[in-house]
Amino acid sequence: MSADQEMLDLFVQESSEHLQTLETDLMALESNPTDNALLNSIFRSVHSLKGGAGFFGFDPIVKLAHVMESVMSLLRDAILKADQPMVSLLISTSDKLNLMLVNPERAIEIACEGEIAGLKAILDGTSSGATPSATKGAETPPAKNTGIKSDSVFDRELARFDFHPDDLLDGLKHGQNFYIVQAELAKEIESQSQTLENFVSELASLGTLIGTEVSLPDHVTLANCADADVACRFFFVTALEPFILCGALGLGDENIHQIDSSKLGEWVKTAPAQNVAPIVHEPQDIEEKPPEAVVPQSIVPTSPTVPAIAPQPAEPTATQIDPKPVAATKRKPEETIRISVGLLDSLMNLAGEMVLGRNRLLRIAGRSDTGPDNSQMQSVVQEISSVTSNLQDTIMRARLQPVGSLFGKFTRIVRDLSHKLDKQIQLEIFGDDVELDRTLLEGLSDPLTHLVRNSVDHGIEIPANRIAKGKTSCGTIRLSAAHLAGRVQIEVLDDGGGMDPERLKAKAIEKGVITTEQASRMTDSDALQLIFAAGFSTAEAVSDISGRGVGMDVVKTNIEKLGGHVELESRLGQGTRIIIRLPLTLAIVPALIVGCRGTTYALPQINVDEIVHPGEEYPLKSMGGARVLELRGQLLPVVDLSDLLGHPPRENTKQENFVVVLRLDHVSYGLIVNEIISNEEIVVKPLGRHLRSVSYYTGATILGQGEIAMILDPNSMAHGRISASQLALNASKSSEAALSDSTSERVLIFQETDGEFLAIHLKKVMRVESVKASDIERIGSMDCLRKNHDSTLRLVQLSDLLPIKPQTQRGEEFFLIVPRPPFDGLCLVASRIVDSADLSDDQIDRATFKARGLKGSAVLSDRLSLVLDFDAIAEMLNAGGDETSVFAQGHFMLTANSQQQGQNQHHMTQLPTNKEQPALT
Amino acid sequence: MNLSLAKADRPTRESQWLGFTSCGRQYACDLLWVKEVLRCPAVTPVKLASSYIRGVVHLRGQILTALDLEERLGHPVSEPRPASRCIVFKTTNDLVRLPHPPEDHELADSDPTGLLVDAIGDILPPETRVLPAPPEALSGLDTRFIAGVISSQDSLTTVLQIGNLVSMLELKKSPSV
Amino acid sequence: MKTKNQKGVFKITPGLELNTSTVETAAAQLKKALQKADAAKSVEIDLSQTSAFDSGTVKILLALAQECQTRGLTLQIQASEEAKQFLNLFRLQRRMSIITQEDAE
Repeated sequence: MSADQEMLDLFVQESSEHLQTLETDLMALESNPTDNALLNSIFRSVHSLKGGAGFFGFDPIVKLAHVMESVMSLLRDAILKADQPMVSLLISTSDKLNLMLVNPERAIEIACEGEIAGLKAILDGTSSGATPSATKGAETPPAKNTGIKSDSVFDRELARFDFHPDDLLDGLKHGQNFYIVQAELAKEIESQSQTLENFVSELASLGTLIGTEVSLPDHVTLANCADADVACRFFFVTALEPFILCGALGLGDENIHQIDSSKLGEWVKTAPAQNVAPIVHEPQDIEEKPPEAVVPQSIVPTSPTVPAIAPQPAEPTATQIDPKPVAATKRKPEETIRISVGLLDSLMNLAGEMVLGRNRLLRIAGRSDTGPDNSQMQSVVQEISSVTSNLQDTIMRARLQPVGSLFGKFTRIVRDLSHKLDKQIQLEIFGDDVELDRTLLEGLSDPLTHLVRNSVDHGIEIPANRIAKGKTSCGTIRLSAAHLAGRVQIEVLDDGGGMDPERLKAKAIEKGVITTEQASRMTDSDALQLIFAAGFSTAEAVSDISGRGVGMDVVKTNIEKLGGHVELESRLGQGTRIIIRLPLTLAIVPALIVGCRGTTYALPQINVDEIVHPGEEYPLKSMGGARVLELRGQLLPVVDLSDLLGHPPRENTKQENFVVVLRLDHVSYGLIVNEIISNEEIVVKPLGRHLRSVSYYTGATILGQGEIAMILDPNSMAHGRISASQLALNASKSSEAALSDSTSERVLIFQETDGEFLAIHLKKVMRVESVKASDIERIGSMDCLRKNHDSTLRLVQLSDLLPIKPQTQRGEEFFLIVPRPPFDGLCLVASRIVDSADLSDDQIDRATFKARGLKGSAVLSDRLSLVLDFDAIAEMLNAGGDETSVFAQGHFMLTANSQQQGQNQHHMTQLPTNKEQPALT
Repeated sequence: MNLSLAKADRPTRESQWLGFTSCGRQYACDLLWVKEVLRCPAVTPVKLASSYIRGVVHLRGQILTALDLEERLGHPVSEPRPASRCIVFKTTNDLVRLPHPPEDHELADSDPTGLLVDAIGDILPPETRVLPAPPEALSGLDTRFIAGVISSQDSLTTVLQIGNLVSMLELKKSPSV
Repeated sequence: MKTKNQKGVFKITPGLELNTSTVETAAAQLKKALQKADAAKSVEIDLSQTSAFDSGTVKILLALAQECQTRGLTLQIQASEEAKQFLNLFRLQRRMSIITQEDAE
């Protein structure tokens, strides 16, 4: 039984893929009812569904699929033209098929009489939508045969062949495919350097030849036959699918025309016991251009030609797909192979282990004590190293799937929802071929659904309101995905009503999330963040559309679980933009390895702001029962990891400890650990069920020598011990600063050389490292700090980008300012860190010093500092960015050095923004 | 294959039993559940884990959760002893491939779990009679993990229900420790 | 091209192969030969000299059949077994009768 179960599972799986394609195609069909590629694809999907269902004996499914297939055949042969009601009927039929396939054995329970009746009516030509087709395309003459029933055309077509209806029975019984293979003997068959005999025997070996017909064009006589070619048609039945047949015969799609087997089946029952006289006596008919219904239509290649679907912005279409050529990444079926997910996971695991082993090998090989003459070994080690990297990349790529598979389902969701709410909404999809690890795709599905539904439900206004506001009646929701410096950025953008910070604040006060006082001090952008707070929902009633108690806080948590971030921007009256950033791969993350009471733990680097040695400069104090760290004028709540882990307290020799400053989205705190061991890229291993319940751990990893380190979760550790009062303490500290000037932010003041003072907003900075000149390597034309063998920080001299004094000589020791992701692959060189200060926007003088990369200047701590515009600087550096290298390691690795060393130039070039990414207003 | 071993009359089963000892007591389990046996595994303790978890073991790139048998059964041992052997149980992936997986195979986890024991004993043939455990043998133990006993002239072997053992059943407070 | 009128059967013996390499010549010659066939009721063409069969063969025979039909003549092909098999691949036996040595008397 298990073998059957396997087959059934396979059928259900394949069916669901067909259904997916079906739905996508039907959606597109609404906007392009005569698109042949679509019609063919839909036909094929239904045909396959029917075939599989037939094999298992799921008659209700076969029955429904059959009627739909018949209608599709008429549409595909351009005998009928699809119109709106017809497409809606097809969509509803597809839905019913969907329902049936959920539990095929109980498919009979799904009511579909309506659909069957509607489809049958179309077939009988009595439905209002059954207008006979007009011209199909440029190749065929205009219809002279309006109203010709398909049957007589069918008869005529088959009459050319001399065969007995019984010849068809075998093929029909086995559900095989009937084709008319048409080719010109010399031009198409012989030109392939095969003899006619071989071709025919090949054909015969692939199936059964029912009939053959050869002919010359009308006008050809002995006198002028030299240049003519013989047209040959084979009526042929085989189990093979069209594209395989093409390949086997060496012919093109236009040579093979599939005949509807169900029509054949019926014809067999009704046809007179064969033929009229052989066609010899009708030379005139032989080459008469057959009515377009029966013109051999190209079998469309299995990858639908997306460029054929042109966007039509004029009409408010329901959906629109970006006409970017997708051909490059679309995979043809015969080029893909099914692989079990478990196997892929195993491969991933092994690849990860290999990388770690390789890293250890590199370390050992790098040691001078492995022998003075180890140059041979070195080269082998390098080889292994590069192969390992390639292997890892390739395997990671195997787990990637195009995001389009996820985006695709939103077409339907938006369409249905907008109809339900009487809104007009157009969904635009960009970057559907951007690939993501499949686990990420799975994890994205729910959050993204929620966001899109939100946009439809709360974002886009009803047409009347939109027009009143001077907008188009049709709203737009744009779903886009793009690779951006080692991450994938997914955006949901709408041009709806945007969010009202005041209303959000009011709701938050009402729900007790914030106090009135906090609200009054909040900036608009902070107010927007309230939507992510737990227990917050602005929906008046939990509508079934986007409610169900799922809030933005759950979206945020889910995204963070995937290792990503979510941000929100909104302008009241104009729209909302939600940005999700995800790492390219789940499994390998950079981490800080620390020690606590002799046990090793890992902290995700993404949360690590800096490491501080408490002492005079950074005093550790107690305030009430809580411990805090004074860090550049701020008080940071601090927890001891050994406490969290349940170690008994012991005498604290503070000098030995370190405080790791961890940053969560809106709160920072310090974690006391005993040792700082290293920065590593670790492979995240899942924990068994018995350990998953411990909230502080998000997994484990295997370190260099094979020892296991638990991976700590900064989020849950914060909730564990940092009391609300401590958080409030933090909040009040920052809000005190906020009192003085509501828009002031902290900046870090530094110098690259002994020249100008530079200021960079701390929110752009992830950490500051002090390094020795000897740690820096020159790789190609860039200076880099090699973190370990997988990631490299590229050094950036601001004097190369800005009109400031260049560094002539780097000191022995200096600092590196590492920006926050996604720019954490580079770092700014600083000779000295001066101070940090508060800077408000209106303090910045934008007139005196103007340059790309600078916001302006300001007087800070009695000195004039140039305020950096880090975003602009990042763009300037990204000018030569290459996606593939960026993809490889999740770090911002630049392949092109867009600067010239030692030259002091402004770079005024406009950056090529990612072309697929539309400019967002 | 019927694993309700409480009944004395069972249809013939094909699976053997693996015998092992822990703290001087004899135990056995369904060999179908067993993937491999590790010698002297390095167990890394995990803070904040339940008491019946001795720690984790690195097993060819995977994290194996190592259970302490005595703790799991409900009579904790005072002195921690180094683990001599670890019986590694099959995961969901492993079990799915079996033509006749054990009855409780759905309880398996996707990540490996193992049991720390002192020594591995004999493999007992499928026909070995497993009887319902007499009350005195069960006293102090969490009965959900016991499938029955095997009686021989010199000893009583406790047969364990592995599915329950590796599942998330919380430890019942035993009446007498 | 030798021709012979025998009891109402106009027999043609092409002195060359009938295939792609000879199309132009053969077709022209056949046309010329047929002009003498009006008195007959059927045309028989001897294919035994053709050893290589290809699309040209089919083409010539088709054109020939066409021509015969216009003139109201039936067409018969005298062929070797091998030739017959080739021609039958294209069901040419529907357009012309094909007889092999064994059949012919």
